[in-house]
Amino acid sequence: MKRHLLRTLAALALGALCTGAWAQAKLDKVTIAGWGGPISEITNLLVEPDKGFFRAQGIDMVYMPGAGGGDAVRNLLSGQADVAFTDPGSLYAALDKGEKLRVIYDIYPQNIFNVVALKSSGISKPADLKGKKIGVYSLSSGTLTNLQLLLNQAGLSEKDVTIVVTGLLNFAPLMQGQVDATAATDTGLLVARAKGVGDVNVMEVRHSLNVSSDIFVVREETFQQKKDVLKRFLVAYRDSMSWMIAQPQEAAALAVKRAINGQNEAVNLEVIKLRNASSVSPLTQKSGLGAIDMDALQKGADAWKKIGLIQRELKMKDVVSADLLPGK
Amino acid sequence: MAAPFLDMQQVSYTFPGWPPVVQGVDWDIAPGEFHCLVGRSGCGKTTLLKLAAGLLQPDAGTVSLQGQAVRAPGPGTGFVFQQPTLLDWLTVLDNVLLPVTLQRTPTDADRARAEQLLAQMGLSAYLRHHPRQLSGGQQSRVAIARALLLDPPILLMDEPFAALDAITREELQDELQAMCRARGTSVFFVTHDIAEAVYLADRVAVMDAGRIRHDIRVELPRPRGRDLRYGADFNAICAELRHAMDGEGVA
Amino acid sequence: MTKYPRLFAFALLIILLLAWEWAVSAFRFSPLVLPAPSVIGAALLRGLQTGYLWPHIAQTLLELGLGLALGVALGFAGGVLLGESPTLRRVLMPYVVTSQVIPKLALVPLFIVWFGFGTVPTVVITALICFFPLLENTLTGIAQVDAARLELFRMLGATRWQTLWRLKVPAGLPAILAGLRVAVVLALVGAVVGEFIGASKGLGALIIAAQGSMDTPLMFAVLLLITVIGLLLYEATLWLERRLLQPYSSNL
Repeated sequence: MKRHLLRTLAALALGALCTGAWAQAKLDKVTIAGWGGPISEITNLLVEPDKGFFRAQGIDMVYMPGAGGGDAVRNLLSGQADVAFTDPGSLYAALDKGEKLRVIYDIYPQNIFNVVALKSSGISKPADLKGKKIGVYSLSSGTLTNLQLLLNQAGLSEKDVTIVVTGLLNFAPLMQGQVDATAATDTGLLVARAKGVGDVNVMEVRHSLNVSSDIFVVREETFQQKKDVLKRFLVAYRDSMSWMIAQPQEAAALAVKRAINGQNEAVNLEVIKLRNASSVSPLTQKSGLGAIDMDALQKGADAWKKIGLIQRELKMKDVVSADLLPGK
Repeated sequence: MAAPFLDMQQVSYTFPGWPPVVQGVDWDIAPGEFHCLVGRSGCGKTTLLKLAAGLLQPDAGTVSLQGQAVRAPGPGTGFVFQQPTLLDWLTVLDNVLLPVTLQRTPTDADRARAEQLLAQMGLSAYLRHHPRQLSGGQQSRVAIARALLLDPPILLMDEPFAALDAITREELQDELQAMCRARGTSVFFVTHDIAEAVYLADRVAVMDAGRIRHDIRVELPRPRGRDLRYGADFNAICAELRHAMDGEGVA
Repeated sequence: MTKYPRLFAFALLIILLLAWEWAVSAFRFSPLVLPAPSVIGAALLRGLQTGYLWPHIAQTLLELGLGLALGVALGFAGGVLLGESPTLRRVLMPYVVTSQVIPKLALVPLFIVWFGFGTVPTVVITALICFFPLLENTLTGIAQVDAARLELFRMLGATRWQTLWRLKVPAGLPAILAGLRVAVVLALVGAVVGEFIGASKGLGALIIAAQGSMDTPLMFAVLLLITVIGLLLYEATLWLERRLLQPYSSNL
């Protein structure tokens, strides 16, 4: 009797497992390679178990953490991921090496990088940075490349300043006076203000050249072979972002559970608001979230070549594709 | 005369790169006899014993046990080393059972025999102890019990009591004698102690520079007790043996 | 002080903590730079109570456990193999040493490409870090059996296999367990450091996240947690060692 019961239970369990697997198999798996961990900035991706935006489009979305935009592109190229959530700088570097990639969505059309100095230092515009010591997150981070962009647009180069790697805790050296300025992001500055960094002068890279902060990049073959999946994927992402823009409070609350650095709900809300702001531009108002400003990306590629970060002349119109955009 | 139990004929051995350590030794032990081998350090006693055990193969000559050539160590030979060489992580009982457990699973009969041997040594209370908890003398007894577990017809012993105090040594000598006589075990016992050699042996060989120089029969009555040690006959034989060893030094 | 060392160690800790607390307020250290013990303690307590820290603790312990098991198995097997065969040892030892000299943090991105992200690369890094002390100590341990015992086993007609498993390994157990003690500590470091790159869960990932949020008190709280875990693991290994090596000591 006992054995019969056990066998029935086993059969039921097996059946449930198979059904589950079959149901799962009906979804298309898409792995996103990101530049960071599961932080509150990307709450719209982290709440998939709660909101199911991707599942609604028949997509099983998996987020793969990384250590920088370069990592994200590497993971894309190695086949581990299907889509890279990365910065234009990493894209340019990969294209320079001859990789065949496509830009299919503009995640943050606003540039969120900045260079911050204490008010007492007297540094208020990019030209003032000449001869100064500036901190960056790491030598493979967007803070460095965007700092170089800022310097370049002001007629300076790396040789005119001293660059110091400070790691993620980059405002402490600024407060201690170990660096004259630090290259950071909008969210970094937000947190620093909360931790009492004091009065600061903020030089936004956006005012020099507004290159996007992050874009979705795919391999050329994926673009050619999986257009339908990618289209649905972008619809899902747009929906998730629209939700976060419409319901920042709800997002902040969910971030407490889902984000690794989401313990403080009030801080989550501020970070989410910043990301919401960076996701919109006049172009997205007109054509919908994700609309790509080819002009800005081309200007970025040209600037990159001028700085000497890449060797080739990149033609962005061969790389950017607006076909898959979800529109409004 | 009974056929020799252990028969060594013209046995020689040299360690590579060293002068010959055993040269042309002839020796035989009759069944049930107790032979001792004495000599200075470095005269080749231990090597000869190892040749008898089959731990070493002679370069020349033959070593036979009951008519069969000895090619490798086997269960027919019990060996007791200078140090007790017990295994610290096994209990006393398991140490004694080692010769069996290396060949097969021990049976109840094996266990009973081990316990009996230990009882004869007065170690019944220590079956579950570990060697480190025992004194030097007790460890030596366990080593002897282990050597006797498979009831080998011949026992080879390399100065087993050298590290013990005089009184323990005498006790162990008596126990050893009793056990070997009871079983009819032949014994080849290496020692540097003349009194010990005379007390235990039926025949004593004096070894020097790889050769057997002298051969003395000890005709003292058995069983031998403590009083014998201080008797005139005993001391006479000891003197003879001492003289024989002295002679070597001078020659 | 010699009579109650534990008590004095504890008292010393209290004194240091009080001095630290005072120094932070006296010198006005920003919590970004050096938080006071009270602030760290509050962050730790809050993290534990809200359940925030537990999944990360569990993840790191899982990686630690798996990595240690793998590393110990490999180290022991390797040590036995290389100890028994001098030829193999001469051939393979340079490769073993190479694997140790390469900075492991540099290998993590490579492992992520090979094994995917998540638990596996961290487990592999942990195993890579902690197998070496086991290998070295096993190798040395089984080689240090005295000649007399080896002869005893020959006398009793033991096979090579028996001599290895019933004499050499038990005789080398004190050395092997000492290697285990080192491996356990290294495994914790390995698991945490392996999480620095490409992990979303675990105490190492938390450290990186705390840095990104400039939450220095949380970072210190996590370090404290790691310290406590390390101490507990070490004590546990010592206890195991004491139990297993009891017959080897001369305590009557």
